[in-house]
Amino acid sequence: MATVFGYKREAIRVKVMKCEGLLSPEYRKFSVDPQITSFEVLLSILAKAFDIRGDFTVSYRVLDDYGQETYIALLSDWDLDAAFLSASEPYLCLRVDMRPFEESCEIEEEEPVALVETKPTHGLHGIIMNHVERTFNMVQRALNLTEEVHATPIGSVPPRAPLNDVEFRQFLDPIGQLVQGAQLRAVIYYGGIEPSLRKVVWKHILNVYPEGMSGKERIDYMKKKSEEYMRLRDCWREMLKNGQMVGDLAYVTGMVRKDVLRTDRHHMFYAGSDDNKNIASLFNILTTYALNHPAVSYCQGMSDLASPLLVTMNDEAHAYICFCALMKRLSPNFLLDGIMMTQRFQHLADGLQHYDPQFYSYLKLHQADDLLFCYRWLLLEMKREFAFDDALRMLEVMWSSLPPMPPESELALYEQEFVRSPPVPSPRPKENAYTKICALRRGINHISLEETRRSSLVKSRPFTSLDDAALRKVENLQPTRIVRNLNEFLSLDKSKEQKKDHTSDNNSPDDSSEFFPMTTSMTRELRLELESLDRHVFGEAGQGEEVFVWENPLGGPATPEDTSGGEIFETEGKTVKEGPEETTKTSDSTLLERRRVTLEEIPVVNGNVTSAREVSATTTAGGPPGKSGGLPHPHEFGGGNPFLMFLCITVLCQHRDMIMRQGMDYNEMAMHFDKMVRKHDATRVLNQARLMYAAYLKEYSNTSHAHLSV
Amino acid sequence: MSYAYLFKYIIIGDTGVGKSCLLLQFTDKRFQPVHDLTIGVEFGARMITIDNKLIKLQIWDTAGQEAFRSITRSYYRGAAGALLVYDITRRETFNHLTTWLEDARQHSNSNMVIMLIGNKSDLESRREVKKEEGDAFAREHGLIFMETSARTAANVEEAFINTAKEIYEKIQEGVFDINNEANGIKIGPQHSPSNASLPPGSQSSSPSSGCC
Ligand SMILES: Nc1nc2c(ncn2[C@@H]2O[C@H](COP(=O)(O)OP(=O)(O)OP(=O)(O)O)[C@@H](O)[C@H]2O)c(=O)[nH]1
Ligand SMILES: [Mg+2]
Repeated sequence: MATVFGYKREAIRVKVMKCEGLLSPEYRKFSVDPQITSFEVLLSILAKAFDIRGDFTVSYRVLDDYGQETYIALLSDWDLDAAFLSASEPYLCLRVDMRPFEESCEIEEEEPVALVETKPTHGLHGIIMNHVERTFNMVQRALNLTEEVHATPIGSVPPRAPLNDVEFRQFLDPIGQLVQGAQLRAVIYYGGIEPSLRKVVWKHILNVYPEGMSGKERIDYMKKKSEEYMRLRDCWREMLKNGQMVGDLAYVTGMVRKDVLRTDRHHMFYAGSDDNKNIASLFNILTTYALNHPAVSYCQGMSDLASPLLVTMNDEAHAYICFCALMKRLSPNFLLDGIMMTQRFQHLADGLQHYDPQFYSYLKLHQADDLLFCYRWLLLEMKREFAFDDALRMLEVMWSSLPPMPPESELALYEQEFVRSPPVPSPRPKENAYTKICALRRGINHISLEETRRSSLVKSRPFTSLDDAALRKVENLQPTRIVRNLNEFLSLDKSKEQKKDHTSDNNSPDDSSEFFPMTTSMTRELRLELESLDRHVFGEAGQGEEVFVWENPLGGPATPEDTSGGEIFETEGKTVKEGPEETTKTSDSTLLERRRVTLEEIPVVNGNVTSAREVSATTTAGGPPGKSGGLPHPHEFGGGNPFLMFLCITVLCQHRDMIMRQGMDYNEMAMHFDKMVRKHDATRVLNQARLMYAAYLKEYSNTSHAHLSV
Repeated sequence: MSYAYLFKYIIIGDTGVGKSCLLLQFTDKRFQPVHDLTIGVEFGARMITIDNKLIKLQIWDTAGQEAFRSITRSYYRGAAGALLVYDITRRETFNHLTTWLEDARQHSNSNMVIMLIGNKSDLESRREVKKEEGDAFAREHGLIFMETSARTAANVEEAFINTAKEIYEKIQEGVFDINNEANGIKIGPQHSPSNASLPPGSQSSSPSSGCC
């Protein structure tokens, strides 16, 4: 009989049947703690348990007066309490009814809106999705809890518990030196890191520290680096205060300001009003980085990468340092030459073709084999594809799959230090007929960016909502007309340089020293030139197979910024040989092998990784991975991040059945994956990706030793 | 449930002009101050009715930043309508319209209907581009024009729907080849009694079940 008042049992066992159209029902069992399981949480658990992406309804089973089974709709916390109370022994039986995915994707499908009417639509769907998102954390907790209580876990679990404090200490010697760094990475690769420990451990796996530092030395190092950051930051802030909104400073602050207001704002850390000081910190980090790395400058997407670092470090300077470390690897993604991104696309296509040729042909048939809908995945390394906290886990797992790359002596916080220019001189019009003609001529090719820069000079303000009132005052005093002229001049000077046009008399020495951002503006101009190359590389739209002309990532002409995998590994190899530990192991082997060994020798706590059956299915579907026509070396694959490729391939494979069953076309596929933003199941994806990655590494070490020499 | 036509739209314009907000206002009827900047492309969909016909709009929201241009460009293909958006409080976004227009014309089919939108009309006090200027630009380039506010929803419905009407008229006039999907128009799937993917409930409630 029903338990009356107060839930006697700590955990209520739940049995769920999921019904979807004509498909045969699916079942799941788990248990929940009724004290902490709200309706919201239950929905999220169900969504996770069945990997549900769309709308669904829940009902629970009761026996009516005649002993007949009926299902009563579960719509609120109140209903859930009733369900818990009436839970028939030994289970609470739930039934989940799906609406087909298509529909939930396209919310308004059933509610065509007439031309004139504007009735509010579909509260519920939105609410449910919001709840799912908001309670992701809670769900994680709830799931862990149920896993403890119940023997059979929901879905898959990570192969290992997250690295905890006690374990981490075992990787440090008495003076705090990190020993067995590779082992540390392996542990994190399998289980991630306990959130409270991330602040410390991320700096290690992000390659912030040179090798062999003691605990004390690390503290001093961070202090010194933080001071260095403050200096870099104060330089441009000083200029802002003086109203020197020119050149790159204007361009960068204008762009960054818009974007930090739209980055992870649903996370508590950045939530609330635009004055949130954490948003200001993110602004400072990105601006400092852009100004001190003129070849990369600022590009959209960087805020997504910096945001988790700031949340985790909760310290602006430390986050900046970590960002520099991360960008050492990722800055090529943001170069307008597009080489790195093109390579990543190509490798992803290769990988997919290799592991799931059937799905790949399907994509080809639908002209979707360019995989352009994976753009965000590749640019942000999947960061936005998972709920924020899941993304942290995914990131640390991915980072620790990469070989360590500690800086030689110390991490560089700038590529080319941004130097303060003297204050803006008094109004001195530079515009004349000639400058106008030049501007016009330039305009033919470069209207867009020129305009952006010019107008950002006029319009861009310091980060007003974040900066102090004094600063705002200065900004209002700023004489816009003059600035515009300065910029005209800058542009002119630049075009002179580029076009070897010497007719101007504007090249007095004091001018060139005065307008400091010229060099950086020139970089930008060059980048624009490169963009036309980029266009070429990507091909024009609709060319189908000709989209990628990238042939040989190592053979082709590489830009200086192109950190090709080979280079990384060369440095790596050296590091490995110099490393105090594992000298014996690395004597005759490449880093690849070392990595493979370390990843495989770590004991997997929980043996049930194989529950991720899709992987084995798809892997075998593709046949045993071929030896010839094989995938690129681990140090090349995915531009040096092979694990990212397997994350992407996993996600693609997890959806391929549905895509093919529904016969989705190019647009529908892109939409489908777009809808999945922040909704992928990190544990499942990681588990499958690990399996695939392990198989890939194994295949490599087994079959192609000859190719491994770096 | 099934629509008579599907139109594919693309929303273009500088970063920060409010493209994603316009889309959200149209599909979800809300203004969300807290949302992501767009990387690559995002999408939305909604049904409307024109001339008593159900029309499904499939809308591609592109990233405005220059660096994404090579990616977003590939989405021009097969678009029947484009919303070209600028921000009335930032003149430079208006100044860039020509570039956007050239880009759009170059990469899309020639019949694509383009709606020019001056967004953020709620920020009258910060206006930098006069309505007349938008009007003039539109007239000069043969576009439809509207000022909208994604925040207050003013004219948002109209912007999307008027574009659809224009496309619809072009279809009626036989300008569009509706059998060529590259034009961004698809004829809806025919009703079919054996549609297994429909949930049992919606099948029985459908008034037109079983006929086509
Ligand atoms: N007041 C007002 N603000 C708006 C309106 N539309 C958008 N915004 C704001 O403008 C900013 C940019 O809007 P988005 O929709 O993200 O801009 P976008 O064009 O999609 O930008 P990208 O994705 O970078 O290309 C956001 O902070 C919005 O809150 C509007 O109609 N009125
Ligand atoms: Mg957007």
